[in-house]
Amino acid sequence: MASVTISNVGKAFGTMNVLRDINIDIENHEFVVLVGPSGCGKSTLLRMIAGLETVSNGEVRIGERVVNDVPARERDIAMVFQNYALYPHMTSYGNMSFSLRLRKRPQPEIDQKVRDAAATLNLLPFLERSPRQLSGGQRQRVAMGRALVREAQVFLYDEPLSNLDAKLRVVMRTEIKALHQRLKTTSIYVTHDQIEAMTMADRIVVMNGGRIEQIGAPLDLYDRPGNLFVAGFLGSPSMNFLKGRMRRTQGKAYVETEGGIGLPVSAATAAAENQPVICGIRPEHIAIAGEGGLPVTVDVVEPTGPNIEVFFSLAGQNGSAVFTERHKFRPGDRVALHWQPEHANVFDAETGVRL
Amino acid sequence: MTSSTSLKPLAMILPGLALAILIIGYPIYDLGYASLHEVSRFGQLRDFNGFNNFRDVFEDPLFYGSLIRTLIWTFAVVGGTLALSLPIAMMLNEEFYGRGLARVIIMLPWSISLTMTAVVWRWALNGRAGLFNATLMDLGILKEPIEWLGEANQAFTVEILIGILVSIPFTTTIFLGGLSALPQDTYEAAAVDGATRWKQFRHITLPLMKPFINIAVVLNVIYVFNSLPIIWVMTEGGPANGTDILVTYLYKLAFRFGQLGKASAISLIMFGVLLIFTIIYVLLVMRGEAGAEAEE
Amino acid sequence: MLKKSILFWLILSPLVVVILFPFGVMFVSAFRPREELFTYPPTWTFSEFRWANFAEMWVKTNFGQALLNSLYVSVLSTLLAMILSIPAAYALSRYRFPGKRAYRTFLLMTQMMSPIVLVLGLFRMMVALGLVNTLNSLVLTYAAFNMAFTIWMLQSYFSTIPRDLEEAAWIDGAGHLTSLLKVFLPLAVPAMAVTAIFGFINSWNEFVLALTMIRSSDGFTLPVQIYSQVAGRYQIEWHHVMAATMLATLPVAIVFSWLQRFLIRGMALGAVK
Ligand SMILES: Nc1ncnc2c1ncn2[C@@H]1O[C@H](COP(=O)(O)OP(=O)(O)OP(=O)(O)O)[C@@H](O)[C@H]1O
Ligand SMILES: [Mg+2]
Repeated sequence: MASVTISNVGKAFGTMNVLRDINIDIENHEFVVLVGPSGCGKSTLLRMIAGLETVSNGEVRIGERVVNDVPARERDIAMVFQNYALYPHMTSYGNMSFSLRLRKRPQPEIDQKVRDAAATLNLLPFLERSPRQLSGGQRQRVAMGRALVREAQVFLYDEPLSNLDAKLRVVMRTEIKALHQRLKTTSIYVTHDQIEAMTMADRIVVMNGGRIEQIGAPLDLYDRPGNLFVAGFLGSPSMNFLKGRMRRTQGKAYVETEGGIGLPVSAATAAAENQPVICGIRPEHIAIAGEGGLPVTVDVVEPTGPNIEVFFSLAGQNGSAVFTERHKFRPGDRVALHWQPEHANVFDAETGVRL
Repeated sequence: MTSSTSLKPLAMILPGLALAILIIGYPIYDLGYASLHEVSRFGQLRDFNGFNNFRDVFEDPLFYGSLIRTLIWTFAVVGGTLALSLPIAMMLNEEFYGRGLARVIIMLPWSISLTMTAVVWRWALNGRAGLFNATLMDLGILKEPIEWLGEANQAFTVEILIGILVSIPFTTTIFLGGLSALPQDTYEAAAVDGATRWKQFRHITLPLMKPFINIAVVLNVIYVFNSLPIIWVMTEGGPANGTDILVTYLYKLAFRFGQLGKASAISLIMFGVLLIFTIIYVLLVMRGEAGAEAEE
Repeated sequence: MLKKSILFWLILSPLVVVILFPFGVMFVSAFRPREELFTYPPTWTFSEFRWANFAEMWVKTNFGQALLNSLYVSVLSTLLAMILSIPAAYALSRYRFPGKRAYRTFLLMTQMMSPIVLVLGLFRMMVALGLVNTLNSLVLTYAAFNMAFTIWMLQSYFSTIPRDLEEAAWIDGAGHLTSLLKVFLPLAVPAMAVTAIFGFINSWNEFVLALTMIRSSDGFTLPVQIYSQVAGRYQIEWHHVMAATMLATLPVAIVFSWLQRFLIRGMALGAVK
């Protein structure tokens, strides 16, 4: 197992730059998730680590070795593809043993390893089936098994769960995480599903438009997003953004909206008086106020089961709040809300950077 | 993965490319060269004679006769083929009992050499003993046997009909490929919107099939324009050059009468015509691909 | 469904009859005793299956020799075309390279070039190369003219084999050659077989070049041999001609019928895209 170091990496297809200045230090045993919207360059970055794309600029290191010019087969990595890429003309056993057979390992050893991996993945009954005869989840497991038998330095995953139905995705997500906790193989996992990112990662790398927006532990990113993009990308339902100007009175700080309503924010906020800012507050941090809360009008109420999501308008801006209590709101109701000032994030309205 | 990768694909296409250039490229050059020279019966190039060969061609009434018949032949065969193939393909694209068999039968003429087809029809149309006459007489349509290939216009008409028959499989295949790619939900949406079958055909099938129709037209024009065996085997351009088209006339000039200079000139003229059609075809295909890429 | 089927078959029936008619003619004429060929007025009826027609025909028309020639030319030209086309098609479906567009255009253009327009130039070239009147001249020309089609078909099939299978093999530790041999080729074999068979049928049926390049009758391929039985003769032995035609076409027709759905798929996949 090994660390992976990506320094100043860039990628251009012809004249089109799809990745710029990527720097990530992935430690040994770490599980890092690359997340970002479609087309932001996640797969490209992963494929560069795998050796399937050339590196245009910068340096990729696995362990101490610079691998820019090392072909994929000599990098000692394993990869799980989005469409699994199972060899259709081989059985599950054939698929899982292929790499070992290429390395000319003795037959008993191959057998042992494949069976161990198959046992871990509950695949023993399906070893003699061809990929065509497997369900989506089983195929996914075979693809995992192919990586497992390798005992490679690094595991790479490119959206391995995106072809599964919602339930199975949750199950497999947990299994992959459990597997990592046992094997501790350095893993890089690409997804555009922020829940997968939050639940699985030791650290998340949020990417956008070929650049890294922020790197950090899931809860750090969730609680202290570095900018508007990260704040909006992580969390569902997503953070409310309310425009206004910074105000301070009597040691208290708030963001004043156009209608003159003051949104409470932390006094430690580094924003100048009257500066245009955006106040970000997560829906689950909003509560019903007794007296003197923020006056809002209920637009739509959506019960999701565990929660009730309430969409409201506040001084001409839209927001949403999530309550676990069974409030009986109706559209048009006027309600007073509040939140703890330290839960609110303040972003520069121009640059989007957190203040 | 660096410069060696761009050399590898080039090395992979090169051997085939070399053969194609030798077999297809060189003769074009040679024909161009020969067409500007006096050529002996035995193929020796004599003096440069400018455009004399071309002048000979354009002063030859048989050339014009062949040219006109080539136009008739091409338009009639391609037109007839298209008119029949689209409805056939639409039927073969629908589910019905025995569709597999129907497809096999309709594709059958494609598998058989045009030469053999023409030989069989020549025998079947034989005036004295042909089974075509036998069939028509059994059905009471004819009283007396007819010598179908005895008179030029009639023979030419028969040849056109056979030309249509053998072009249907290929054209139908193109259309079937196109039809199977049409989105089914568009029809369902149209049906929900209340479009009749005819309107669906008019406003959905035809426009969506247009690229395939275009390609079928161009490819068929090229194939039919160049098709020798049917006419050659059935009538050899006769009687009295009455069914000659350019290819048969060209072949006679080159390999019967030894007028190689003139034949080279005709080859080159035909090559020019072909080139125009080919360019149209390439543009159509490229446009289709550009469209497909844009959709991705 | 039943009503529709009957209706469709009714509409298609004239065409079906006209298509099957020559097969009937072939069959009846090939099996008829010679005397019944020229009965007047002509009829379909015949008194016996005269298998001896085939035996006679085999000797009289030198069918065996022509069959061997046809096999030689078709097999070798198909092999040559495939050997040259497979790498080219692979390059087209897997790599970006400078001049790719130009190469595709060139392929489309050669696909359109018909032998007849070039036949005089080709003949002169074969004379110069000393290949005229040899079957190898046909092997070369057929391979060249078939290549555009085979490359096109193969590349449209190759493009359906996901690239990530080969990438998975590289990551599993295979070199380019191993991944080609163990992953790509096994998956491509059916497509290559189908394409090769179509190339074979094309060569098998070709007429103009064979008629031109081969001057002596013991080098004739089947279409030319059969043509020579009817061309410029006063006395045509039609029952032999029909027997020979039947023997030469039936196997090809059967194989083709079995394969035609692949052709439709190929067209849908890209040949006309
Ligand atoms: N071979 C290529 N040639 C040209 N451009 C490419 C190529 N591969 C990817 N790109 C471009 O690079 C960008 C990043 O692609 P990439 O596949 O890495 O996105 P992604 O983040 O994985 O998206 P998704 O979540 O949809 O998989 C895209 O704009 C894509 O169009
Ligand atoms: Mg991706």
